[in-house]
Amino acid sequence: MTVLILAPELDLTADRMVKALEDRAVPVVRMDTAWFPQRAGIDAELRNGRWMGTLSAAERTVELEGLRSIWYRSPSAFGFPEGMTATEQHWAMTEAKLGLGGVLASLPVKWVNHPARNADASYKPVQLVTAARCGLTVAETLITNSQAAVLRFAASGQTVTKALGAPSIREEGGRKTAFTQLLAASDLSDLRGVEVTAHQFQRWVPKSYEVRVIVAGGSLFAAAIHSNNAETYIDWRNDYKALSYNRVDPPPGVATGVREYCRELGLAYGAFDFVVRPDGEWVFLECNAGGQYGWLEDAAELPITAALADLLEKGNGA
Amino acid sequence: MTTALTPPPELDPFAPVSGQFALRGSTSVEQVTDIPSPAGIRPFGLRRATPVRPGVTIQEWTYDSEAQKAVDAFGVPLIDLPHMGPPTANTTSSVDGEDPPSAEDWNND
Repeated sequence: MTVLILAPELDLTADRMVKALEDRAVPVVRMDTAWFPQRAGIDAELRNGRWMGTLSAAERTVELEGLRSIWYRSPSAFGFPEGMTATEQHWAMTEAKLGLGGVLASLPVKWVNHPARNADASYKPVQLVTAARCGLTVAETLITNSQAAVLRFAASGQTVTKALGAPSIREEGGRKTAFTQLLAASDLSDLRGVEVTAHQFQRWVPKSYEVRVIVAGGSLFAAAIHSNNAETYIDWRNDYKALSYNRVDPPPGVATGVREYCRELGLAYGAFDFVVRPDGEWVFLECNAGGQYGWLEDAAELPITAALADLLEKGNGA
Repeated sequence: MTTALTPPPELDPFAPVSGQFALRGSTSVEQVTDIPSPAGIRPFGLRRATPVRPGVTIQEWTYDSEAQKAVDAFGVPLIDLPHMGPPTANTTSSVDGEDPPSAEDWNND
């Protein structure tokens, strides 16, 4: 039985997983969905209520019924032959998504994570209510396109603005980021642009440090992230060189809460971000169901690849 | 007689992102040459978007489909090189839904 890894070609964390599975003599096939249809193919027939056939990827072919698990590592968009119009590409993309994606999504294998579960779990408002329901402390949050609502919310305490989705855009010939920012008086006096889309505002949580908690099946790992300058104190993604890490143990209530969260949203894997307040309380910020862990594995000596390899190796027996 | 048309997925605001099986990227052409709109048009959340700091530049690599890993010019897996460091970039920003740029590692935190 084979483990299928769906990942971009440049994904060193996936490279490590290939090596880990090879070391365990577990057959592994890696594929980027960008290879479809030019370097990858699907040949699936519906028989007795399930899809049977083969998936070919580069030089490898694997039987669909021979898969034990699939690791979904944000593979790239399908790549179509040059010459298609944008309309044709759009149509082909939808067909590929519903065809190849649909067959894979239907397979009775262990997914880490199933892309539909990842997608459902990507909505931050859903994350916050799920976390609260699971007993985790969450920050006061406002979702709005109303300037008046922002003023009302900000009147009750220090407030940050943070993206609901990707904090990165491409513009003016390069890449820009819009990480978490504290709202200043100058922001509150000119809130133009709030009304053009939904925005997230959150109460600033005083912090001693932050923690990333990784849930991988039944295993749980946590690394404290200490910021060493003003920018990373607001959002640690601003400058990784200004961070230091150490392994920590979450309080029992947090450990129980994140496990329950994963159960509720059908996640085998989750990367949770917490702020630890000066009084020691852990406050949930978000959970990225596809969040990275590779840099923490080394920095805080967390054997996450091994735990995930266990999960993928066991398949539905996990 | 009227016919109810099913809107295309991208026009359904409540369609789950799972409608996009390959979550990262799309076939649409990125408008990297866009310039910011004036205040009032530009979303407030992008007001303080700033150019990224220099990230970690991954050395020359190719994907070895036999090894199923990225390798250097000599065929050595990048993860086996002593100076590679941890496998996740020290730069960040992408979450589900973005193409990775080719010359930088922008894997998400």
